[in-house]
Amino acid sequence: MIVAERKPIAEILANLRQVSSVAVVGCDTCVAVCMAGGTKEVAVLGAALRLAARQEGREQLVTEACVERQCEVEFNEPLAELVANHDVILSMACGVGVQTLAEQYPSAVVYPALNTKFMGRPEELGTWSERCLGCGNCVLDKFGGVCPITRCSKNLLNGPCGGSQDGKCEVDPSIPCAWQLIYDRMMAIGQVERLMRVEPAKDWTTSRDGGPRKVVREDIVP
Amino acid sequence: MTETRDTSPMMVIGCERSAGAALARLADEGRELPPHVQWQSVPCGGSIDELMILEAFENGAERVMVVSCAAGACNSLVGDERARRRTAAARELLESVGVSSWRLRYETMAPNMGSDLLRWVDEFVAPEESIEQS
Repeated sequence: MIVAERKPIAEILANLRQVSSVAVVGCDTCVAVCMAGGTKEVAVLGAALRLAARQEGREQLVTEACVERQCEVEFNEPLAELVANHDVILSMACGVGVQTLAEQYPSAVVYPALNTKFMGRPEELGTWSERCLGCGNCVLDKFGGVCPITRCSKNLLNGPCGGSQDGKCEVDPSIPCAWQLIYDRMMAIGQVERLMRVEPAKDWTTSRDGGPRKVVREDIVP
Repeated sequence: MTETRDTSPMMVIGCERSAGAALARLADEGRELPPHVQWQSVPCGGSIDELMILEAFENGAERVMVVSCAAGACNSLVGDERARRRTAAARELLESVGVSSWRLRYETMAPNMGSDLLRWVDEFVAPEESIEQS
């Protein structure tokens, strides 16, 4: 899922002090699961903005709303009246949701309330970690389901480097060495000999190097 | 009922097993929280969150006291720790919107500490006021 976290309140407020109405719009999919922008987080930010306005002596209408999936226009259609009646839409979705709202309502001022961090998974309550960089050419089959592109700090396809110590990464000892994880996993599934093969340099044209990417399914498009 | 220094609206949010039980014992003795103090009972300190605290301020409370069970005494094991951390997070958020940190207080207690609760309520005033009156 996409993992995000709320921007500092001071940064959010800096965009809102001159406006008379704000609609805080959350997304109940990924950012709700990572407790950054779902219904409850919208309520918290809404309350915080109202308190800020009261403390600063400003008159400001703060309205709260949440849609199931802000990255799809169909889910945002019920927001039309809300968008028309507010000076600013403060989106608590990931960057995709923010841009979807901005594209869908061209005359609306849409600001992000979150910083979108990465694609990852929850490790435990309150902890999420990165698992996928979206490189466009998945190599997990070669590395026992552990991604060296995402989880190795140096993106090494032929690791480990000399900085792997006691299963930890030299970049940050709190990071497990991806190559230690890969080796252990390949041993466990009886494929460790596959690691003897030298991987060629990665073709990054499938990643961001080719500009914004798009997937088109000719069998599905109308 | 005790005479308090500050009678602006206050809310006490607390676990029913500690603060709630203490208030019940006080009631048996004919004592209670002052009328300007609103009591909100929760089943466990672990159910107290940022939203609950912010809403208390939004709904007019000038001061909010969060009370959970003493460390190691939580019936749900970690409720007091969660309450402490979430109160800290709420305090940080409140400060960022201009609400002074002293307005949110966190305490832990046992059911036999009702008198302490009344004293904490009485002493829960702005830091400068506290110095002036001590």
